[in-house]
Amino acid sequence: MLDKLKMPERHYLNNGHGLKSWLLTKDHKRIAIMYLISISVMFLLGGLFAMGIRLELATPQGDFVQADTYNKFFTMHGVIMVFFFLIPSIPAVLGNFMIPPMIGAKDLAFPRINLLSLYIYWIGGIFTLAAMVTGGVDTGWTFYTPYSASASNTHIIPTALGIFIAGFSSILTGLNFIVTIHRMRAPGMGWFRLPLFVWAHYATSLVQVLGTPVIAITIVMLGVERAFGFGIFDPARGGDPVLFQHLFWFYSHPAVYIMILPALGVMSELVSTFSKKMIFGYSFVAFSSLAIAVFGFIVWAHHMFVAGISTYAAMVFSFLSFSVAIPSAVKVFNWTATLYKGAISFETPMLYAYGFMGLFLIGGLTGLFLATLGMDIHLHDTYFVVAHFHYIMVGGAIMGYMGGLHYWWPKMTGRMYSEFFSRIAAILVFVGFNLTFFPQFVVGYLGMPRRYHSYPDEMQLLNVMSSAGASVLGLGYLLPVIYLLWSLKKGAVAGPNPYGASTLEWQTQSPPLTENFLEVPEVTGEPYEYEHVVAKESHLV
Amino acid sequence: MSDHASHSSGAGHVSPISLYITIFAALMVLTAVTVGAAFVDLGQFNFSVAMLIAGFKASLVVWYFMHVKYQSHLTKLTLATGMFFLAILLGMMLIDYTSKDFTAMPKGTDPTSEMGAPAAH
Amino acid sequence: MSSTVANADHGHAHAHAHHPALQHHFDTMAQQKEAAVIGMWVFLLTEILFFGGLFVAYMIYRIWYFDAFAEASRSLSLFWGGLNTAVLIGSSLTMAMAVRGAQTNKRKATVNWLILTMILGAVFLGVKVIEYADKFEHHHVPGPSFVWAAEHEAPAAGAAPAEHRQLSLTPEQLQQTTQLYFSLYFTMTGLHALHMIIGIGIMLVITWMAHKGRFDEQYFTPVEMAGLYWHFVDIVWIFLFPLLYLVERHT
Repeated sequence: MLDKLKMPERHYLNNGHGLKSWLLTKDHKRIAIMYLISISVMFLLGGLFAMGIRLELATPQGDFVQADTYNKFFTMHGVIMVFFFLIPSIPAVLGNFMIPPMIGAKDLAFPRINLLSLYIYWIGGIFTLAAMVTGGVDTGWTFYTPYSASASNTHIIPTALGIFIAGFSSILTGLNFIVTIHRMRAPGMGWFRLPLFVWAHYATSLVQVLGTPVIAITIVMLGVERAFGFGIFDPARGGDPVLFQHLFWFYSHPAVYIMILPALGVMSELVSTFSKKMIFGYSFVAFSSLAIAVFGFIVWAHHMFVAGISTYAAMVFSFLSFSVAIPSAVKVFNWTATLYKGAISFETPMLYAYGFMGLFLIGGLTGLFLATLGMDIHLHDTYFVVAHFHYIMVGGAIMGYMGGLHYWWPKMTGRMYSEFFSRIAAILVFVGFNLTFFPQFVVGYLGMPRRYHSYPDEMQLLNVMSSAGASVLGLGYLLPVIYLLWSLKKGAVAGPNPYGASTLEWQTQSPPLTENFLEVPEVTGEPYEYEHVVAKESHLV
Repeated sequence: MSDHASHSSGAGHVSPISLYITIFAALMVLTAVTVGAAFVDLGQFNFSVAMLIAGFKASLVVWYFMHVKYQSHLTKLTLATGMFFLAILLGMMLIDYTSKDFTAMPKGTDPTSEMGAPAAH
Repeated sequence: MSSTVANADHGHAHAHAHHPALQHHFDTMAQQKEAAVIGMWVFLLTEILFFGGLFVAYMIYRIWYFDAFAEASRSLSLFWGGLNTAVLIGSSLTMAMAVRGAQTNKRKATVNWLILTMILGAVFLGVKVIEYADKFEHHHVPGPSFVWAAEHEAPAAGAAPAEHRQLSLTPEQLQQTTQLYFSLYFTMTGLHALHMIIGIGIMLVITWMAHKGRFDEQYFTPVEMAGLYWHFVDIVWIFLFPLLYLVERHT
């Protein structure tokens, strides 16, 4: 059966050759591939800084690097991972590629703005990387004033400028998705026939468009304070450093929903396809994405419980932070209900999905501890917080990204990767991740502060476990680079629908045509119906 | 969504010139009113009056100059969403700032504090 | 989902001639235009939130240091501020007329109204240069060279008595906290002016395109987009004017 399948003759990858056909493309799929390469480079860089952090923390003394250098390590790790990897990852790669075919469109609403968004991402990255190689920044990715406004003598302005510029990339992507989803759907593709992946990206785009400008203006205010000596946050002139924190977190909290919502969307696709079942409670899952997006805007001060906000404000934000957990829980319950009595299988994308469910659950629950005022007083700025957000961001968002990448790899490239090595990598990631980050809950609870390059001797064992786990995790991320690249030339031909999925993008050839569809599809059925799907062709090794 | 009509819908609603002149005149009058009201002591209502007038002027620009009156529901919804989130930004910020005591700067603050000096970058 | 790939009557052979400006991932000019309008409004939302952050800072500090804001605001020239408001509102009118000209396929009128808009925009910026120069002269630029004299000249328009009401801030405190006002003044008006410069730049391009006859009543989207942007810039000023110039003019 394998050799009956042939790569299609005409597809988006061979439609035009040479650098110009890529750099001046309007094809959302080519733009997605270029984003894929770019964010992978950034992920590697961010990972190198993580390696530096874990190397230092393998011993209790600060003996690997100077304290100032260590500060730069965790700052650059955070800046690169948040702004240049996590925020673009799923939307710019998987969203860009899949949303038009999923809704039956030939491209996004604004293809040239899509390309512009990529250029802007590159320019922002160049500024930040230039700042990095000329000395970096040591303020932490949160840039708190007054240290960042006046006392630090590191390259804050170029780094912040890079983030500012990259923010526009994020805004333009969100803008494009919103207009596309509203106005480019094929006939019959009503809102409630959309794949949940699309709903998730719509919600993400709302956050991108409404939140990112606030950090942009915050960076402007920080910039004029540093560059011109203006005094917006300067306490000596009556300014309020806590105002910086309010403005910073007004974006940066919704930003974490930019990072997780797309992964939640991927999860819905994976759970449905690999249990061959309609997602339980489709409308609830769809609306929960919107609820997360909206609620995400009204909880930001839970990052500031000990910063000097009023007790009243702390109570309000604590209560609201509890409620934002509810829509996330709705999704987890609904996926579980989908799996129940489904035809479950264990292909690599689904392995990532299972991992996601467990790790996102832990991450989310530990968030509740942090939202509890009394506990947060002890846990704030400890490794408990670090572990919490890595469970969500790595155990959640990155696993969602990896799951989605593996799921749609056959569609994007027309090739299947080695199921054997991909499963090994997925298991390594899961094991390595837990080994890295679970001990951090413990040391955090024991009081180990974050952003310190040394710690008490009695915490060494847990830290060594964490550093060892990081090596395993790194290996788990390295393997896919190898077998995915290998598959481009040597992988089995995938065919249009190797996993037997039901959504519209799988009804076309792999890789797709530049224009996605030869004829405009007309949608008549409900989402996630499997009876009419072509039987799954097994390519498992 | 996809409309297979063989001709486009044309230019959309064309407003009469007289409408534009009227709106312009209204905006100028309201500007004068704003300035005039500023010279009247209304206590704490000076601010509200000024913002109400500004809001009304902005509405005139949005509704008539920007043609939102004649646009789709989606356009109107988009605008409303923006206003809503701006309100969240301003309003929720006040939850903190109006519920805590604020002590004015100490009277003896040294105006030549080095915090006022610009940093290296 | 079960979807039949239907034969839509929209194959590669275009049965009807379509407008040269129709991009082929859209089905009709109407869809393309509607997408552009929504897209532009989404962009304006980002601008609302962008300026919004500055309004937050303004709001907090006006509550905390009202007297500093009141004093500093009185030092601004009501004449120049009022003039600029009128100029900008006028430019909104001319911009609306330009869009109308494009809608009704009047090439020359469109070009002329656009040029008039740009001229008014340039007048606005010229006035801002005058105001900024005045601030520099009086050492009202926040930073190490800032000086807030206890007695300062009354503003040009509207007599202000030498003795105001009893203030709650000492002169030393005013020296510091008026810097907050001016930091916000320069950042807000500076950002606004930057948007105007960009707007004039965009209009130069649009004017050129109009001059070259690129627009007709079916396609004038760029003019409309420029119009939306320009009106937004006007709206920001509609709020900035009372907030910066009219804090407390009645004492």
